[in-house]
Parts: sequence; C-alpha cells; structure tokens
Amino acid sequence: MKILVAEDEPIMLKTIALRLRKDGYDVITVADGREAIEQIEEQNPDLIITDIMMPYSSGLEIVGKVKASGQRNVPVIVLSAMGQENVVVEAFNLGADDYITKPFSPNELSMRVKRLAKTA
Amino acid sequence: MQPGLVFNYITLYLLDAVVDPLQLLAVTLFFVCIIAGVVLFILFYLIRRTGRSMRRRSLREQYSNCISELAVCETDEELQSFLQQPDTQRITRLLEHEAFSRRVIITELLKTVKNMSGNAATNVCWFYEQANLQHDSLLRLQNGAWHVKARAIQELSGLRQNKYITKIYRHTNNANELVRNEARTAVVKLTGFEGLRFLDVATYPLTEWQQLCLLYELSLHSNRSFEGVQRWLQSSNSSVTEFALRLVEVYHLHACFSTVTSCLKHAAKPVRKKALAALKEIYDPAINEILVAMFPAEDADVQILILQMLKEFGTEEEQAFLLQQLLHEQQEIKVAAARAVYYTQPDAESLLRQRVQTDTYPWNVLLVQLKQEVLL
Repeated sequence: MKILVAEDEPIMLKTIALRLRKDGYDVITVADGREAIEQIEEQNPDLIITDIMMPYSSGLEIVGKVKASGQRNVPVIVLSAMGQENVVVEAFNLGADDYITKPFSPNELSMRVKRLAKTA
Repeated sequence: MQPGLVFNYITLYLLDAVVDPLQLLAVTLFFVCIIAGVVLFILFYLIRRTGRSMRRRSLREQYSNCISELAVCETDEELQSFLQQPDTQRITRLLEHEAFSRRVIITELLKTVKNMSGNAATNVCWFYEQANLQHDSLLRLQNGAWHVKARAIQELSGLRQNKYITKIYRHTNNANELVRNEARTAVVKLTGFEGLRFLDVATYPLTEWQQLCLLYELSLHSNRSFEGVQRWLQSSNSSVTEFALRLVEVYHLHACFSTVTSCLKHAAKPVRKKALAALKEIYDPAINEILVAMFPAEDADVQILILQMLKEFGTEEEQAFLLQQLLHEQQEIKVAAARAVYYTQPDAESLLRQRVQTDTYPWNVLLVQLKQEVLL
C-alpha cells in the first residue's frame, strides 16, 4: 500500500514516514502543498496524510483537490494543531476521512492508518 | 569662459586659501578608513552569519534523522540499540564538544515534543537527559539576559524536567514580566494545580494573557486540587483574586460562594466584574438581593452585567427594581432591564406596555426584537 505524507516540519515528516515504513507501507514524503499535489497526480497513492498549514498549498486545498478528482475514494487523514477545530470541520466538509491533533503519538497515527487501510 | 571652469577655479582658490592640502588628505584618508572598517565589519558579520546558518541547517538535517529514529523506538532494547548506532555516537561526541550543536539539538528536541506525545515525546525527553543537555539549559537559566533565561525555562519545562522545578519556581516572581510569565506557565505545566502555589507570594500582576495561559495548562491536567482558592480570593494582589475567580467560574467551585460574594465589594472594578461572572456559574438565589443592593453604587458597565445576571436568574421579587430601571437615563441600561423583565417576569409584554411608550424609539423596535428572541 502506497501512502503519501505531506508535512513541512522535517522531523515530523521523517518520524511519520519511519513509523509507517515499520508497519510495512510504501511511503512517499513531500514537504509542501504544491509538491504534494504533483505527487498525488503522478504516484496515485492509496492513502494521504497531510498537515493543514503548509507552504504553497494548504492541507485543505489538497483535500479539496483529491475529493473533487478521480481519486475521491482515496482516504485522507488531516494533521491539525490544537485550536484549529474550525479548520478540521472545514476539512471534513471537503471530504477528509479522519483527523489527528498535534501533539500526537506516531503509534496512534499508525492505528488510524491501519483502520482506514482496511476500508480503502 | 564656461561656467563649469569658473566654479572649479573658485573651489580651488578657496581650498588653497582656507585648507592646507595635506590636512585635507589626512581627513579624507581618515574617513575612507572608517568607511572601509564599517564595510569590513558588515562583510565579516554577514559571512559569519551565513556560515552559522549553513551549519545550523546541516546540523538540523543530521539531527532530524536521529530524532525521528529516536521517536519511533518502542522498547528499551530499541532505545539502547539506537544509542549504539554509529550515527548516534557521532552526534553524541559532537554534542560533548560543541555548544552551538547542543543549542541546535535542544531547539529541535523542543519542537518535536510540542508536536508529538506518547512514547515519542518520552523518548525525546529521555535523550535530552542522556546527552546531559539539561546542563546547558540550567546554565542559561543563570544568565543575566531575560530572553536567555526565559528560553531556558521553556526548554526545561517543555522537556519535562520536573526535578528542576525549584530552580524554575524561583523565577515565578521575577522582576521581568516575560521571565516570570514563562516560569509561572512552566511550574503549572510541570506540576498542574500544585504549581499554582506561586499565587501565595505573587506580588507582580498576572496579565489577562498569563491567566489564559495558566487556565490552558491546567486544562491538560486531570489531578485537580483547589486548596488555595479561598486564600487567593482574598489576596492583596487583585490580579490573583481575578485569577481565583476565573478558577471558580471554570471549575464551578460552589464551596467558594460566600468568598466570591464578598468580592462584589472589592475596590477594583475588574474583580467585581469577574466575581459576577463567577457567580453566574455557582448561582445561589440569595445573590439576587445583593445584586439589587449593589446596583445603584456601580458604574454603568457593571450595572449592565447585573441586569444580564437578573435576565437569567431574576424572580418576581426583583420585578419592582427591574421596572424602575426602564426609566433609567442611559439607553443601554433601559434595554438590559427590559430584556431582564421580558425573560423573567410573568406576563412581561403587558407589564412593559404599561410602563413605556411602545410606539416611540427604542421601545417600538425593542419589543418586536424581544418577542423574536423569546420565540427563537
């Protein structure tokens, strides 16, 4: 299973990628929104994990584009900071499948990915 | 003769007559040297800054790999094997010898702890101690510069160094506002409600922002203890009393009712306003009589708050008082009183129609609006 992780904080990006690789997933990492959109089109991931606040294109734009395209069945998990409840609601309105609030445990993210991977 | 040549002749004549050419040369050289010195200094500074930022970038890159590996370790064995890895050992050696590297990694560890919880955060704090990085933070805590001190407090609290709580606690009443704010937030972050004991000795005020930060930190702790609240409600520092009232309001501390009621007589208006807000959350019918009694002596903004409370908790006993306020000279108070009557009195509409001219402003608008509000 191919997972795309979009996160602009290098340590977070590497940690998430490492944790998911440990679980046996094929992980593509990108550090900004524009690159994320390009990679989604090129690589056709089976699941997307995206931070909300990112350079060039926000996580919301990514959710919107994915859910409005032919990849609308690809599950999207949104990473949000505390106090961004309104943004999370907006992400759900756009079609996001799950969200996780920072600070979060990589193990918790791994469990959520496993759950969504079953339905993907 | 051309005007340019005339100008040159005059300038040369004046220079010959007034300034010695050798003196002029010396002055010119002096200024050239100063300008060259400044340019060289700027150049040196820029080169050094660029070098440092490049070094920081490269260290961050190395550390991000190391920290992410550390964050995903799940057992003690995995942590021990992480420490034995050649990359980790190289970084540990670097950290032993270079203060700049230690500063960079502490920043990265702190950033990681802010974004991650569970095992990942615990591992990061464990590494901070393993690499003896807390000594750097402790050294900076003794620094005279306020921003260095404040940063050190942030590091120690962010990386869960509970054992240094007494060192941080000393700064909770620091003369510098930013240092004491960091220290106050840190002790509450590390020890929860227990950390609030600094309120017993706080002589400097707690700003609104500080109070909100403390409430946020408290919300993350489940072991609640309100032992000191009664004491803080009677503090000579009015901002401490305000904060205690916020605690009463947020945590519905009914046991504090009588002390909160006495805060309605406090000399500071913000305290009286916060007391009203707290009483709304721990309401007791006995308070209505006190509210009516204190009303005449209060400023308009507090009077409006009293009427807003009576809008929620008023009874028929307050009817005469509320109807009397409909004739108040201030529009806002009239409106607040009308709203209280409408919400709490039986047959309010006809009561209002008897007392006011319903076809004149503001009553012609207000009555329609109140009717809509109640219907909604």
